[in-house]
Amino acid sequence: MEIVNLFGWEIKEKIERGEVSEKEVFEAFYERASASSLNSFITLAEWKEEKREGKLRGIPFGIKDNILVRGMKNTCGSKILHDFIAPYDATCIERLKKEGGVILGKTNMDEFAMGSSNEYSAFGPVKNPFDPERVPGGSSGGSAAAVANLEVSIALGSDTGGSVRQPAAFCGVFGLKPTYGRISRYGLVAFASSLDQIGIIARTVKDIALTLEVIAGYDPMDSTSSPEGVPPYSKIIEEPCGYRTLGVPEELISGCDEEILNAFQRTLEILQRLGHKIVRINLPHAKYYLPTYEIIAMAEASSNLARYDGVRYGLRVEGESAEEIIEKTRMRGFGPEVKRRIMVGTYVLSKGYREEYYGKAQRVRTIIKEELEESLREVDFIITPTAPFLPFKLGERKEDPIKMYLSDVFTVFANLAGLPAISIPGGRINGLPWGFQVTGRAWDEETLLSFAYHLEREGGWSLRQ
Amino acid sequence: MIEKLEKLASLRLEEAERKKILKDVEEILHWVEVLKEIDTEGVPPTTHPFLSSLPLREDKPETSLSDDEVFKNAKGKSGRFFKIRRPGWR
Repeated sequence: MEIVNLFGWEIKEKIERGEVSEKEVFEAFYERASASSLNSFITLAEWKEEKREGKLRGIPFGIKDNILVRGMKNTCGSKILHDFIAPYDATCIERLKKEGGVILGKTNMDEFAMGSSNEYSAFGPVKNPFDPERVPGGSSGGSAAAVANLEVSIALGSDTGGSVRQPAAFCGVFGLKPTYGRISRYGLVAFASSLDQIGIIARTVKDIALTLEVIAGYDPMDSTSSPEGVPPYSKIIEEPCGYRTLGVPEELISGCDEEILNAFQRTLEILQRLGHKIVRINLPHAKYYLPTYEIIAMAEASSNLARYDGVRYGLRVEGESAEEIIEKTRMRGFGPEVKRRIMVGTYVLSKGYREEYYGKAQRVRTIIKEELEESLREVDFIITPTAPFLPFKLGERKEDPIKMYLSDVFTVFANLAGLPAISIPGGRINGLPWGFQVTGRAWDEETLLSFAYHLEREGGWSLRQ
Repeated sequence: MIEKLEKLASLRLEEAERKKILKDVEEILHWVEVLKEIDTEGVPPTTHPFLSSLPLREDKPETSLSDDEVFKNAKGKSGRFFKIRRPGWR
């Protein structure tokens, strides 16, 4: 088997047995990534000889270009940070390196993680590995495409409303968004701080489990990171997961494309054959999830993105006064989707409208969170398709923001309530990948990953090539 | 409305994009109005999914980035200061 076909954990074992060297592994992936026409990487790293040991020894990682890797460019897919060199490592990167992980490069993304198709990157769109005329999803489109196209073993992304899970589904790989606070956000460039969480994309659940156990856990540099203990996920998933009850929220998924709905129905039948129980659940506020999410995400984004002013780093467009420099830098540096969201975010936070929009959304968020937690007391997991449609054509939704936002209709609720969720590749429809999403209880990634690993091995969803 | 938002956001829009962005902003604001249907009287806001007590670190000096690292990405600097033109009147 070729090196690039191996799973991450297999690479590490081969290196330890002396069957392949760390450098050979790096070069195999580097060659494939640099020859790729998908545009999945913005920057590729150079090989550095150093002593590596640990759980991730020699495994190459793709890192979304909004997670800082010291000494490497960190563009966030934006012109405003086109030349920004990260002065330190994000906590998750520090932990990856400490366990022997290797950074292969920084992956392409929608500008500041705002988008569901990767078309909003200032460095050009990423193409879907299954059809170059279609999008890979977003905003972590580069990470998902790189993993699917065997350009890297495992990739990190960020997920504010589905940005890890939706591209994972569009590219036919696994993508996990852990519980909010599970992984430190120190060194992740902020988009919407109460929703953002780093996630992991791979071709096997085992690689996700292994990576999560390394990078999760409390970090004094992020006061929202949790002191909850981190179990040895990669061992736990090998144990039997038992039979589970899964809830299907019918109101939420009713607007889904028919081909997805049919494939989803067949998936539920397979789950039943495996011994799991499927029940219908009622989520009366389902139609409010997306608007609630958009208000909160845009408000927080407008505040977080105020720091890009050309004064301390990044692009600077000169002018006659400080104000002119700042206004022009932001005018030239940001792309249309980022501007749109800053404007809506500014409006909903402005005097006279704050309570009507932002305050309202925060209160509705409480209702939504309670509704989901209540549901998860009755069932073990909530199951839906990951996205309501198949990977769409480049340009198809780019000019219509609301049509683009609908890509996230099944994914935002996990961010609103902070819940862990995983997208599992469901196979192909007309040659294109689709995925289904399983959402679990807060802090219980171990049951979620065990269940997903069990499906990977027994449900016919393995990506072994 | 859009001029006021441009000022609040310190983000001037190009002439060519102003109309399209204003139209999108209005559409998005209209689309989220649906939330007004929900009675939220007495419901507390959620600011973070899990708000626990915010731990404080011990009060002892720690080193952070050096000056060189801090200024490496700056376009204008003078000694230990970032340099930019003086504020003017708009």
